[in-house]
Amino acid sequence: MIELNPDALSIAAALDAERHAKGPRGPLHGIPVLIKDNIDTADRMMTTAGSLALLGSIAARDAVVAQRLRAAGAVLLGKTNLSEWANYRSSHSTSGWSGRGGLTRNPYALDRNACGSSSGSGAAVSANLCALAIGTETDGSIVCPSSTNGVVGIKPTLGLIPATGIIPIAHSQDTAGPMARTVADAAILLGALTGADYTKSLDPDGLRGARIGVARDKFFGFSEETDRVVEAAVAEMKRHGAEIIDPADIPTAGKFDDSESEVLSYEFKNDLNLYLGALGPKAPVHSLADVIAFNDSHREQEMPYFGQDIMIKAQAKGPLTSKDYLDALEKDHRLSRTEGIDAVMGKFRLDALVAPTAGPAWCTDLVNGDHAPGGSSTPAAVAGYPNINVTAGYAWGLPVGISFFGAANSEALLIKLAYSFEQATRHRRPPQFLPRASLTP
Amino acid sequence: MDLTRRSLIGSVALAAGALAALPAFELEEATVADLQKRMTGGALTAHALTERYLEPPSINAGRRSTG
Repeated sequence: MIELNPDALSIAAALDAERHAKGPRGPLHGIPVLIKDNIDTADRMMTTAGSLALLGSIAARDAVVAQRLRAAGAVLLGKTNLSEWANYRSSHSTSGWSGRGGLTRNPYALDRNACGSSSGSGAAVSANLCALAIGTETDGSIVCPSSTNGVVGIKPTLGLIPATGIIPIAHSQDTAGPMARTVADAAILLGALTGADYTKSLDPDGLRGARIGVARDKFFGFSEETDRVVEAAVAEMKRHGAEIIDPADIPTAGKFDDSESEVLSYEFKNDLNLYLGALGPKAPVHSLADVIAFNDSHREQEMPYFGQDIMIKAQAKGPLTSKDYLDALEKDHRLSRTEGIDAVMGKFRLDALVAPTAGPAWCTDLVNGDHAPGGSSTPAAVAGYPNINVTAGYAWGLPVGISFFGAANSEALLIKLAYSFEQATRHRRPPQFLPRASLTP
Repeated sequence: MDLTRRSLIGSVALAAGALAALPAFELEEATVADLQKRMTGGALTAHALTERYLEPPSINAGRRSTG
């Protein structure tokens, strides 16, 4: 956690009085929820994306996410640490580290990484420091920390939850989403954020008859232990009545990394300048250029371990009318959607694709930065399609997640499959806060 | 003192305050349905629940393994 809400207790007391007088508003009435520190709250908490450049910045308005949580009766308990600027600062970063919040540790092995950028949300939910949390994702930032911290994370379809009031990376991919210990809790939280009732999808027999494709190319083979866990998970799905189509490769996987990088770089400059420019004259910084200058002038506090090459690259980009940007965006959408996920889903008449979310957590190395071996978040992230992580098992006591992803707006179906898998396997084990992973065979 | 949990949380200035007068109730792995059931039945309040989550980590000594 990076900050606690000084008004949490009074908010909770008011909600108790309301429950007593009028009954509960719904399933989140009185439930404490942590939110990532890039989500605006118009209260006494700051919103900083973990950066000292935004220290003291109090939002004028709640983000839509915060508005909806309050309307549902949730208690905003505090804000969670994150990879600073949602990991859009340096190509040599350490996930889970921010200048303001320091390092987020993995509760399964404290010397290992919590992944990111929703590091604190994942670690806090897993460590039972809250009932529910909100993360945000541009590419992997909900599902990866969900995987490495052994929790459920839902990265919804782009636009299902308005991103208004979230410190941005890129409007083509940014979304908030729920992180919870169970699929049912994540479904309840997603319902509060969207107004839909996803609890109708909580069918323990949901795998029966489902057509599930295994996306192998580019997403298996980076970790033997991860492959072992996910192969066993696929076998479990088959035992519970799913029809497994294997392989069901995404034909364009790995072919839009460059265009994704280009789109994010252009949009980050545009979107962050809009966000910072709207903060008003009292804000400590007003533009990406200001942030870069702040980091340079506060090098010891902000850049002791890694720099800001990604920000500098973004600052050099032109407007969103640039041909390079528009071409990259068209390529992203075509390769990830029509020629990517949509193509394989249609070809095999699939309900969902599955793949390893990420490998077991790596040891945090502030000297050399992250060394994540692989992951499967990019197709759904670039397409703007939903993706759900569920714990599939453990390697050396470290959680390994499986991703269920598929067509746009298929959250209800994916929740049904994820819930059925979770109920059939019940893999999650709470963390024991070990100083290091137990590597004894 | 639960040093490992303290390490996890980091240096955040956690709110102080009196401990909730909460009956023995294990928050670990509690689901939303569990919590709502207890609140609906009057065995738990949002205030007490929030207070529990705000407890400084050292007060939770013995709740978990430190490895």
